[in-house]
Amino acid sequence: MTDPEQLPWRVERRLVDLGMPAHLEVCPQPSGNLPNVRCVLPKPATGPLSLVLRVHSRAGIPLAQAFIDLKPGDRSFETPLALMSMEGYRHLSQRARQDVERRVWSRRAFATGSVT
Amino acid sequence: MLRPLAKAAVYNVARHTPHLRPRPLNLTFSVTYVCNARCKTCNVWKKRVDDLTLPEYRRIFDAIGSSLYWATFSGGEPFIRPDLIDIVLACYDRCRPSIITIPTNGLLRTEIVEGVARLSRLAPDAKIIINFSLDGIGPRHDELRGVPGNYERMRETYKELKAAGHPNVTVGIHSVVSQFNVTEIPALREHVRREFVPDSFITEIAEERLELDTIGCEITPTADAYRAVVDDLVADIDATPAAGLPALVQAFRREYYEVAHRTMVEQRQVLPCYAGLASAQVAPNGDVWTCCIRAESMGNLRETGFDFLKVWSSTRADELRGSIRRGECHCPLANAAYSSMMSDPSSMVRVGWRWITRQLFRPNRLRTASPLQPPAPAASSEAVR
Repeated sequence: MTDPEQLPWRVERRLVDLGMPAHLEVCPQPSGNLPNVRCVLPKPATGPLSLVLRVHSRAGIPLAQAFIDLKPGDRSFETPLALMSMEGYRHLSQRARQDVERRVWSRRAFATGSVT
Repeated sequence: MLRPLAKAAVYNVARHTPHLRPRPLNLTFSVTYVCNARCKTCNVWKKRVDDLTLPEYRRIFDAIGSSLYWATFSGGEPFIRPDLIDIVLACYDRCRPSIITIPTNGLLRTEIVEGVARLSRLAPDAKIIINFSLDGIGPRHDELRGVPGNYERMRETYKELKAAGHPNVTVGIHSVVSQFNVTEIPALREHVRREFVPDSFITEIAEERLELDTIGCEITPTADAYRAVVDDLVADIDATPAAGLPALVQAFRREYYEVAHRTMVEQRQVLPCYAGLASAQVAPNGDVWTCCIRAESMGNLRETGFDFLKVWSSTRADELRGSIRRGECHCPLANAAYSSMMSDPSSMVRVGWRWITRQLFRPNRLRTASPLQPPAPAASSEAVR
């Protein structure tokens, strides 16, 4: 069994101060869907927190994103991701869409997190 | 030129003042994803959305008002829309842009030649720039564009439009530098200079963009290969006489080519990006993007009653601007880069210095000419670089 993929996670200062880890865990999903990403917090969230998580290419282009709402006491979160700019592909079959998603996802390099 | 420079200072302040959101100077309207070419560097033709209609565009232009200096109408192939010129004229009537740019693959000869004639006549106060795409010489262009006979058809359209001699129309050539043609660009530049004699020649690097669905496609040349192109283009700029405004345009382009290469090498936002502030893009379905590279929606105009300012001042728009300001992305997108250079004091100092030194040390044959006198036809390829 291989170790789960780790995605470098750069967060803004306010999240650094909360002790956010430097990596997210990539959690593969069945049936060809995009993976989820999971984060284990070093200490429980002390208050409500809304943040946007983006997965970027090496060139910094955001490829996918998720909006996360943490409640006081949360010790982790796992979230599905939505690829950017897929609205033009509603006419494609699910399989064809997944081909596009896989190609885009292949460019993942790092994630960023910022408070909304 | 003075209007954008005056506004540039406002954008510079706004970039550091999150709640200050001046209207954009430079907007690109992608009017359709439909395209009659099948370029190796673009998959946009595979996308389908419900394009904004002419009445919807009119409402959008009403909301934007007269802040625009530069409006670009892109696609897909923009001339594939039968109402393209009506859309552009609606923008001209309501927003009064000084510069209107339309890129085209040149395949729809009648639509382009007749459409631009009408646009030139009905938008006399705008400088209209029609940029024809050319990525290779002859059959090589056809191969890269996926359309047999594209080169000849584009050339016929180009020649006919150029011959029309519309006083407010600039007819240019635009080349995409990709991993497929990066070694051919110097020869292509010479070919363009000799065979087309365009009013302007611009190149842009093929990059992975969400808009064009080229993420994960191997289209971008290596930084080393692109360096050779930049060296060739810069050497050509330096060797070509220019004065006045053309020299200023050249100084901007020289700066852009260096910024594009440095961005590739250093993999960071070398030039502070003003996308989402000074520039933005409206997608065919009404989504407002900071830029076509990120293609992240600030909001949808259809969903907000076509109220551009509501989208522009939304929390989501502020959040995207913050991401750009923090340097979370970087790219060499030309359209946004020119607005960013104008808003960036250090870039303007470099551009200004190059421009001034060219006035002082330009080649003898232009030394007697007025600084604002356009170059002679043979040298009008001054903009070819």
